[in-house]
Amino acid sequence: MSARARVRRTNFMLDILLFVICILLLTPLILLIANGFKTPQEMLVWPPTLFPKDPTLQNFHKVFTETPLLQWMFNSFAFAILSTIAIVSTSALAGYIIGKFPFRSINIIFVLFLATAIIPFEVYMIPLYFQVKALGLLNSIGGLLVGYLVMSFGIFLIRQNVIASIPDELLEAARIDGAGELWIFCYVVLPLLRGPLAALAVLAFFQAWTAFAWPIIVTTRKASFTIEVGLANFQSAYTIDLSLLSAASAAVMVPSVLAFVLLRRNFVEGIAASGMKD
Amino acid sequence: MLRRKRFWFAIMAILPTFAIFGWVRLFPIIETLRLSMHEWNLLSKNKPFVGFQNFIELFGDNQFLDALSNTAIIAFGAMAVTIPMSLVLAAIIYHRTRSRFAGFYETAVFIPHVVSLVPAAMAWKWIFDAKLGPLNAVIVGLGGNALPWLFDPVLSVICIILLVSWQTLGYGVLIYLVGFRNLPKSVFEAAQLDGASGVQSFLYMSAPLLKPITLYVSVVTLISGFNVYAQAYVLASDTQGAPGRQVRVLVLDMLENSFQNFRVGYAAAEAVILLSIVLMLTMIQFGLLRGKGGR
Amino acid sequence: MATVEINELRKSFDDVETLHGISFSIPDGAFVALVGPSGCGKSTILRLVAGLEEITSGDIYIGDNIINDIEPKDRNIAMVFQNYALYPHLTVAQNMGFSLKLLKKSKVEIERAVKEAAEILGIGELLHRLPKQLSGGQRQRVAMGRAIVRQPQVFLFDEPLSNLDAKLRVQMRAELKALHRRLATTTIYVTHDQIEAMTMADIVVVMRDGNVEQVGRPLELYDKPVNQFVAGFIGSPAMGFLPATTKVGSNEMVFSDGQVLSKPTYATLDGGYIIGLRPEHIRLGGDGASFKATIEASEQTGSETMLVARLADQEITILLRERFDTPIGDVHAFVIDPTAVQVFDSKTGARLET
Repeated sequence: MSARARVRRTNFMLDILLFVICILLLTPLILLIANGFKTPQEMLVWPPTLFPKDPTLQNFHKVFTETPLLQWMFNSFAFAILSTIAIVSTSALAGYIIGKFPFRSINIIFVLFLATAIIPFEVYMIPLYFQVKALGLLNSIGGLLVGYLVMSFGIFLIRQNVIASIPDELLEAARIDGAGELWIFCYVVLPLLRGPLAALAVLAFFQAWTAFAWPIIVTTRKASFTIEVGLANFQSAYTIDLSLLSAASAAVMVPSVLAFVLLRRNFVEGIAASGMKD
Repeated sequence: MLRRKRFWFAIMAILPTFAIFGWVRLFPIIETLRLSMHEWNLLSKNKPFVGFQNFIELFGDNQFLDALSNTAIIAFGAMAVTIPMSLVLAAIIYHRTRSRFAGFYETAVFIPHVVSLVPAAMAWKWIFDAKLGPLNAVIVGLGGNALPWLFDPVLSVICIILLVSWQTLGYGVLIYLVGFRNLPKSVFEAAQLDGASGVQSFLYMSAPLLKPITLYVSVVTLISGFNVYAQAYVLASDTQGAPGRQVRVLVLDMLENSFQNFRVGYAAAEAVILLSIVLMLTMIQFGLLRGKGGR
Repeated sequence: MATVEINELRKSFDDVETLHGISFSIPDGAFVALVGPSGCGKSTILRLVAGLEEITSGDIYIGDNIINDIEPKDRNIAMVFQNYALYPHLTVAQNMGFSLKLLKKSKVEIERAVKEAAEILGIGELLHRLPKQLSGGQRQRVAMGRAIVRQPQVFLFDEPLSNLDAKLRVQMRAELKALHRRLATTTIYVTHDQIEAMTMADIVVVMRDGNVEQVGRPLELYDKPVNQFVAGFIGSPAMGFLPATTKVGSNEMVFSDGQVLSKPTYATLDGGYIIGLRPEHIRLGGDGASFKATIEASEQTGSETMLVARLADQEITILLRERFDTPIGDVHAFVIDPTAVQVFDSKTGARLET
């Protein structure tokens, strides 16, 4: 077989392999969504069916009307949006300052940010919990927010970008023209940071949306659960009804996946940037 | 004069962020370190200093040791599965970059990483279900015996490793893809001329040249592995729904000690141990990277 | 027998054809240089011979075998890349021995072959170093060593000296030439530097925009360029071109400023033509056709003088092999041997035979 044809055959086989692997990877999620459409009785059948024989919407209906899922979705969403806003604004400003104002004290602050960046939240969330409790913010969005107001990586990301793509001369020119520092930040720096800020926003949103350990200790009342916490505790209240559980999980999962597919570029940029951190 | 003005702007501008940071990061971290050396049962005002007693007690505590070993097995297990698989998968996807399905592959591989922890765990929980799940159905169909995946202590750890690997795979592939794109093309052409087949090129060229990335992904997945919680909570809960009873992990043990056993200082000591492990892993990464002269 | 035959070779990238039916032959053991400006397709031809790109149409033969569909590794060729493409994570010895390792040769054999090649190139002491610890010239040699070890039928060089500084380049040119004499392997050498091509090659192929302009021995290209492009490309400093008119059978060519150059013309039509004057052929005195030009600039290198002069409202370069000090602005008489003057058709650029 000629070299050209051999290459084409190999590529074809690889494509098949990749296709199969991708489908396999997505199978658990496909099954989950399929389960959401099964009747509770069908869920108890053995051996289990792959796709529902009598697809029904009753689970989804039930999930949205009889469970606090919508309330949880609102909680998660509000929490994630506010966290994103907080993280993006603090990272943008702090990153800019650290990147372009190399004073001794600022550098010390940067080292502190950096040093604590690798410490996982789980390590210090207990004392923070007590802080939140003392402020009476348990079971509230504010309480959730306290743990997700700043992101060390976000500050670092902006700093790197500021150093790499905003020339000092640009800032000097603006200063010579008489612009105030705040004006420079808002009208010169921020527009240039649009890309990294978008990536950071996606990352921050994702982080808050999927947070688990912190929300589970901060929220104890059902009404204030986030989606993650609510779903996890779902199983004790609605144990027998697996189809309901699946429907709830699917209802939560589908929007995130859709958002990802649409915003893939920003997402990938943000995550890849974290890989370049070192 | 100008420099002065800029200095004050910088300080003022960074102050809010730093203040928040001090309150939600620095203070709790220091508090954790401090509490680890004290005894506090949440209720009393009294927090006596106990030195290293918490730590000494921890190392004799079977539940803690159980949690520590489970967590370590999960972390290293997930890493051992994720790294080679994502490297190979990234290599194949990269090879087919020009295929019109490339976007589909990248997206599909990454979706498990994007799906939030709990729904994903729910999906797998059903698959692993001993009585109702398709995994056992397939095994029985092939002539084997149904296994109690989520009830057996060993099997349930394996389940968690599988779940965590499935979630991390996409991340690994993404990072490796970036790595592949940055490899010098001419080196591979030279290897091709020297007679290397695709597989040989991968083994002798790609894999060694990607060592820094392998190191980075290893450490990141290890660290997140040590912090595993949601997956154990959902997967390994017993029939009463009590979370994580089957598989104790560090974070679970820590939270239990703090909020159920009312021993905050003790829990803080656990947190410090977790912190030490994370720091150690990071140090090793830096050390290994520098040893190779970096890039 | 390692002859190389290129036959009607065409290459398209995404429906854009970049090589338009290239054909030429390379005799066994010859050193052939492919020269031309960037984008002329010379590197593409090299990569097609190597098998790194797919042929769109046409054939390539090595010896009697058509190699179009043969894998690069089975073509028995070796290539030296412009940026050397050394394996950064392997030592010099491992770099050189890699191809043999893939062929599953024994360790002893590999060591011997590597040592031999290292001695030829004078890098025996560097065998345990990593590429990043080597200088540009050393890396260059390792790249060549890697190629030699394979004992190929054909060597392919892709602008190997362009990353080196001028002095090193001159030294390496001589070494490469000596190496070729020693190994007598057929070599295809791509470069944009015509001096390299002229000094090193047995045969030079001049290319432009995906076409072969001329194939021949270096001096042939210098003395008898087939068209204006080749004439202007070969030779440094470059040939100067001026428009001039003549009549059939006349012995004179008239410049636009009225000056007359006594040169028998072989034109078959009356009208305008392009005259080519090589800077090194223009002298201060002696026999030959004379003309006057205004000195505009002068550069003394000690043994030579390079002048920029204006003749018939065109700038020409004059290279004198002597010292000549004259104030700028002076009008001076120059002489040139009429047989050294070349005449080109002003529309096609083809050279008129003398």
